[in-house]
Amino acid sequence: MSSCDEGNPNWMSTPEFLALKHNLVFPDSVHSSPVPQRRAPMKCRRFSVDLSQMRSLRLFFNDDNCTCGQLVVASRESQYKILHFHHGGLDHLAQVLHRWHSLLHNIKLTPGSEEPNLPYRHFMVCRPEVQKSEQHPEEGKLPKITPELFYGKVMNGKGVIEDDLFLRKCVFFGGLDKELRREVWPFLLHCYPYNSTYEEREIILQIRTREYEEITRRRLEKMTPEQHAAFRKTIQCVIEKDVVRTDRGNPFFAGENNYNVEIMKNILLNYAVYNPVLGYTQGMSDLLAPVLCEIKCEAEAFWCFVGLMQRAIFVCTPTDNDMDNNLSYLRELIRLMLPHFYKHLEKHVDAMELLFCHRWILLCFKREFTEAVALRMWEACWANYQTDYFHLFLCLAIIAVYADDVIAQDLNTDEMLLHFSSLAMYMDGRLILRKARGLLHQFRQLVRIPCTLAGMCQRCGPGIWDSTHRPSVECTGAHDFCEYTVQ
Amino acid sequence: MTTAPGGTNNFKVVLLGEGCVGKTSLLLRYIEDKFNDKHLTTLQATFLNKRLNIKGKRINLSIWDTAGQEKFHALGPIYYRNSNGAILVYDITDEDSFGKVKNWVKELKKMLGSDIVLIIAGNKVDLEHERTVPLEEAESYANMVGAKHYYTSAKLNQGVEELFLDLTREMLEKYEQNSQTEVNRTSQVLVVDDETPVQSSCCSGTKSN
Repeated sequence: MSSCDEGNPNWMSTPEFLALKHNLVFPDSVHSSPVPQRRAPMKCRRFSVDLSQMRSLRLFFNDDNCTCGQLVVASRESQYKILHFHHGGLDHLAQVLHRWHSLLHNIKLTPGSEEPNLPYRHFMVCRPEVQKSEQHPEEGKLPKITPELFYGKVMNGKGVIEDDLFLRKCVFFGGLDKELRREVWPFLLHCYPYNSTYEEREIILQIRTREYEEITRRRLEKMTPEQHAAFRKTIQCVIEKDVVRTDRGNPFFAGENNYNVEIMKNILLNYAVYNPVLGYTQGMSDLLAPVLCEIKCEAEAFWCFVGLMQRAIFVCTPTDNDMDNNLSYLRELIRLMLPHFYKHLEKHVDAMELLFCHRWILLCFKREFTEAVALRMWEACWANYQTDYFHLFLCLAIIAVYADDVIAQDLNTDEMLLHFSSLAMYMDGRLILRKARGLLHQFRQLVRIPCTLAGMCQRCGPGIWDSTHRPSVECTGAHDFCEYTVQ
Repeated sequence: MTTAPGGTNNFKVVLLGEGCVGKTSLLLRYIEDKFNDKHLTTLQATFLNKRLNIKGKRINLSIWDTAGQEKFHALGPIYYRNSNGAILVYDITDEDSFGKVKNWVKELKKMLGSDIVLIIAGNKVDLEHERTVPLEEAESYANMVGAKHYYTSAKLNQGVEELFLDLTREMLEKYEQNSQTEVNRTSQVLVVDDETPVQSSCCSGTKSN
């Protein structure tokens, strides 16, 4: 098999070159930046592999016509080769592979042979699509928020957003125009109340700017030399190491002595002063960078970040407790909604730790999808529509769409980690969003939920049960004291 | 457990250390011979495979890269459990990172005893002029706890290959000793089927992630 298009020897049209041109290059490794670096165009090289020695062959179609997508070849040592078909043709290859597959099956069926002796463990064609019946009933019924819609209908002449539920619902289902991020994010991140006027917001901003300056002063002038030394050692030096390696591929943060990197550093330092309990943990710079890049004003970006860290609880402050809570909710959701996958997890040592999705939760999918899609997911989470835990439904959706293969190949804990990290930047984010909304709806249809998930349904603005439907909560009996135990 | 003729020995190695000491950089230098001083912080452990030949034996290393500032401490044991070797990395310009190495040594000794081969790596020797961890202190500490000490620079590609090679030799020795003395001991070394190595020349490099 060759990764060059034999019928088209011109290297200019290799998939790699096209991928490069369209910023779709697969990162060199899970560690490298998702923002592709400029590279000299590569000459097409050939790669060959004995398909009969591979562990699996998977085809992922990612367009509706099922012509484009990826062919993923995995060796038995979990080495992956991913070939991208951006301009069709994968369907033809699928046919060829299908024929080959049936041929092998025929061999297998020869009388006398006892063991099914397939040369490879798995061949799978994955057409990720969400059936109409699996979708949220409101799917496709709400518009994307465009400037016309926003200034024409959502915000009135005084600058007040009268019906924030409508705005949040549209953001949740339809998305938000990129141009409006600067305007709408501060509302979603609780920097301004939805019902404030232009004038009121100006006053709020003045007050918040003064508060921010006060925090800066506290950091620079009001610490004792001992405090200062301790702050420098435990917080400042970590932040300084992290900001220089956060989103540097983004032009806003690129280049040496970039002033915006300096601002990012100040905001993080001030946040550690403002919230000394949390201080700074790695990952926070990754969450701040996109916000700062859109908001630009330092003080406003700071308060948006405060909202992001504290009120929008989708972001799990990377401490034991929050992560633990999120993971136990997710485990329960998997048990309820994806029982086959749960059974698979039960079979393998340490699989219940869900190692493969820690980063999904920590960075809210920032490293799993391209930036545009990841931010679309952030906004859907910030919309707090029907749940404060939409990020967990996104996790469920990824598993629902991409884990068939894990079960079919019976991948162990380590292999699962490799499987999902190899999918990073190659999953269909829009499909995942659709699926996640559908799963949320499905969850809200449950008549009974276990007490282990009761906490997930509290604390939500209008609430996860804001419809007429209220499930009863039942004790699972897995713990000692439970308010839901039936006496 | 015996190694099948022509079989491959699998060893698990875990990289541990404070955030930003260069764990990922050491790994990427070793596996891909690349260096990037702006790569992203590691926030979730992952591993890469490396195949090599030592004394005619085929070896596969699964090298686990961990997040330095892992707030989720309960995970530590998952990463180092069943490890045959651990590389404890510190930054020679950062004393605290050396303190962290000492904590890791304590924890590993307590949990795994002498089953694991320990290596201590003082990374970033390209910044020798900024060194704050005294050479003698580091070496005598390593000596005391029975770990080999290496100076490395992922940036200048110094000491990296040697470190992994020596570690692998030691793990192999330990494995061979153990399989001689304790025949029935549940070994952590697995044997996988022999097979032809995958041709790995291709447009974007064969991934081992």
